[in-house]
This record gives sequence, C-alpha cells and structure tokens, in this order.
Amino acid sequence: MFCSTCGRETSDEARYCENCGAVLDQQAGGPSYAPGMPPQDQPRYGERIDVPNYLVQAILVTIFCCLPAGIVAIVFAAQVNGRVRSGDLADAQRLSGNARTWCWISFGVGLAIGLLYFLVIIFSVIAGLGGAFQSSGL
Amino acid sequence: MVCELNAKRLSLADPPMWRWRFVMLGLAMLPCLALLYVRNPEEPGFYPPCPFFALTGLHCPGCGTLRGIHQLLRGDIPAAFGFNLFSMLMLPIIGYAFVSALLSATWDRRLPTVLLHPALIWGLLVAVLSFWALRNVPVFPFTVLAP
Repeated sequence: MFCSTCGRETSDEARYCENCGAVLDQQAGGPSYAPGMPPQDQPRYGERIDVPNYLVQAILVTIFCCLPAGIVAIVFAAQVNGRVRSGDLADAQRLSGNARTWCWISFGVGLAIGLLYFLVIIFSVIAGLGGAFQSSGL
Repeated sequence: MVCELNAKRLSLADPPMWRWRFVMLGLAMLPCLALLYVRNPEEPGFYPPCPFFALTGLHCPGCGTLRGIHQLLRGDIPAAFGFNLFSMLMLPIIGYAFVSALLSATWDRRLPTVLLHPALIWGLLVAVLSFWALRNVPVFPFTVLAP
C-alpha cells in the first residue's frame, strides 16, 4: 500500500508510514474512514502533521550552552516549518530529527564542559589542601 | 496545527513515567531558581564561566543570562535587560512552552499551539547572529548590548 500523506510505498501491516510517520489507513484502497463512524473517531489528523521543530530547545541551548550548535538547530527549526507549510511532511520529519540531534549535541557538549569545570575546581581545591598540609609540616 | 513550542506532546495516553519525568524536571527548576536568587552570578568562582567567553574573550549570545535572571528574580527589570536583551525577550516564549508542556503532562490540556511562519524563525536566526556580533563591538551604542 501507499502512504496517503507522502506517497511512498509502505508494508501492508504497518500502522504508521515508515517514511513520514503519518497514520496509515488500514483498509488499503478502502474509504478513508469506516462507514457510520464519525470522523472524530478516526486517527487524529491533527497528530500526523505535528512535526516538532525544537525551536524552544534550540533557543535554550543557544542561551545556556553558549555554543554554535544551538544556531544550527535554529536553522533546522526554520526549515521544518518551511516544509510543513509546503506540505512536504517527510522532509519536515527528517529536518525535525536533525534539529533534535543538534539540540542534544549542544546540550551534551555544554554539560561536558560544565562537568570538566567542576572537576578542575575540585582537583585544584584538593591540590591546594595538599599544598597547605605540606607547608604546615604535617 | 503544528506543535510549535513543545517538542513532544505529552498526554495522559503516554506512559506515566514520561509525564512524571517532566513534572520532576519542572520541580527541579525551583531549587535552581532559588540558588540563582541567593547567589549573585557577578561574584566570580561559584557558577562556571561561559566556555566561549573563557576561550575567546568574546561574549556569546547567552552571556549575561544568569546575571539577568538573578536581577529579574530580585525585581530589577532594567538591569536584567541590560545583561542580556535577547534572553529576556525569549523568556515569554520559553515560559509559554514550559507551561503548555506542564499542563499536558498533568491535566492533559495544552495552551493553543502556533505555527510560526518560517520567515519569523529565519528572522530570529538573523537577530541572534547580529546580537552576537554587535554586543562584541566596543563602541557606544553597541556596548549597551554587552553584559
């Protein structure tokens, strides 16, 4: 069967499109909703165009991690919304994944630098104590 | 339409662990804000320095955010904007996303979501990059932007 959202072929038993993540109609070739079933019982169509762009996370890592990786995430966030507007949801999903990856890179590197800073502080305090013990003759 | 502000729509259909992890994250922010209220980031040696500033001697777009939030918590809004204009302007957006995610994790409700026009996000990108460059220019009108 083919995904009605992005048009790519998917396996017949898949509930979600492997390509774009859209909810697939299980009755291949059948009506888009079962007869007599109110549309609101169908898969929520608002869900399938819910492509997160990670803009807020990108802003957060830009502010708090002080690294250019947050800027890259903002670029991807802008592209996600561009693809959603033009209806290219498969590409929007791909760019959304990129935005998420860059947010995590920025967060991870920022966290690593922070931990490294605390280790250096702790070691310098220990080294300072050692020096104090030596000079006190203990 | 598109969930602009939340990365993940949390709903009561999600595993409870996921939702409680988010609520715990929200609760973990309270001691952080309390610490930021008590200890002024302007006194050196307590909070880690900005890695970009430590390496290059230049201000990054986020420099001054902690000092700004400290001033905000103390009620000095002009001082907060003086430390980092960009961060302070972003706080309402971050707060909106935070409240929306917290509502969806606890009551399965959300604030309305907004699909920002891509041009707005590209504009934000240009704003961040110009802010980064201009706050490092050591001439009068731009020194206002430096922390």
